[in-house]
Amino acid sequence: VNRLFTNGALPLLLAILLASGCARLGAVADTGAPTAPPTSSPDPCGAIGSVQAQVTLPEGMDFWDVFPNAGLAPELEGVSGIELIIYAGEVELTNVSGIPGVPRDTIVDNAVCVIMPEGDANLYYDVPREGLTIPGLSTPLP
Amino acid sequence: MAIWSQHREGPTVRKILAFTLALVVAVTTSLMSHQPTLATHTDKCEALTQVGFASHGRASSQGTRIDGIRAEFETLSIELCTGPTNAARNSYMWVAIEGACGNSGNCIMQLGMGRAEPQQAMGWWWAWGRSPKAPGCEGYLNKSPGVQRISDWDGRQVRYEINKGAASGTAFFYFRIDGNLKKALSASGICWANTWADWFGEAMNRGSAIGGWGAGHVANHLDAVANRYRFANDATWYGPGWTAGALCRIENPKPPYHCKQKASDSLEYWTNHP
Repeated sequence: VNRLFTNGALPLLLAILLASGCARLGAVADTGAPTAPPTSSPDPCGAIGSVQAQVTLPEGMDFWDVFPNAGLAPELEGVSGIELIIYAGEVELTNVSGIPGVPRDTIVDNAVCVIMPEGDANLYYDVPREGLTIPGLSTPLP
Repeated sequence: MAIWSQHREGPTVRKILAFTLALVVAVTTSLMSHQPTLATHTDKCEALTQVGFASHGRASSQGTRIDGIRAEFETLSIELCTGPTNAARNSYMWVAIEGACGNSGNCIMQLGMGRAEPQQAMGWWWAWGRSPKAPGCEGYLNKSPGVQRISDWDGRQVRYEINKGAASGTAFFYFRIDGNLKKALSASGICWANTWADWFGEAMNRGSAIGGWGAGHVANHLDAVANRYRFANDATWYGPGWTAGALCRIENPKPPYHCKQKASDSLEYWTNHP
């Protein structure tokens, strides 16, 4: 260890690790700017991809304030306190089950992970993004 | 005493003894902490993208909706393949209610046991999904049947049940394990027609097991017993009435997965890795 310190290898390694950790900590923006690089491990929805925004909404019905053109999702109605992870681009889903023998959608686009009040995570995809409005941003995103 | 007296022989001997003692303690602790298991073999993972191999038995609603399914799964730990790989390797046993879904596999409600990353310990799991391609689901959001962990498996043979009911005038699908309510899903989110009852084993990697291990390894099959399902507006639980000796339906490459009818209301599942 002493030798590593004296030739500078260990401090360099520590600096790299520290910088890497700081970069990861700052990667997920609360306000929605597309800043995050792809994650390397699945999130609560089992998704691996780039996060565009991560927001908390007081009511499930507020989902349609963010995605005004989204379809029906009765399971979001009447619940309080949901968290949205909005992805930028395609995401890979690592935990998809489904009907045996039918191809599964494991690479999806326009995806949103909704973490429900009791902790379960619902992954929606092909969610229309027209009019997407993320709380905290002054203008709608394209 | 003789062992400890040798400590005086020098620091090297003392270090060897300490290391040996630590190793023994570590191995013993590791062995004692294992969950109940009869399967003893794991194979190397294949570097595949997630596929979803399955073997299963299915019952059709014969034109009526299926509102309930249940089964008991034998106490048998499901084993995952060993790395290194970036591919998924989860494996489960499920009871499921399914429906026509317009070439999508999303239209399903499922409850079961299995092993999955990142926790890897045996657990209870559930999932449900929906597709706007399914008849009756036009205008709904597409929801992936992503598997969610409920809690740790308790190592007992218990009943897994999905059953439709109501509370305060609202219809729900209730997910129960051993009679205990684990999840309640508003029936209004299930727009697809619940047409099939399905009892299936599933692996996300061909190196992982569905059920126990067969030829060449510990011959132990995972049994799904007391398989029952229920029609809408009919409180009776029916058995699937499988024919003696009939093979299960097996999706994707048949080897190494196998299943077989064991009785008119039970199936057994195993994996024949070389």
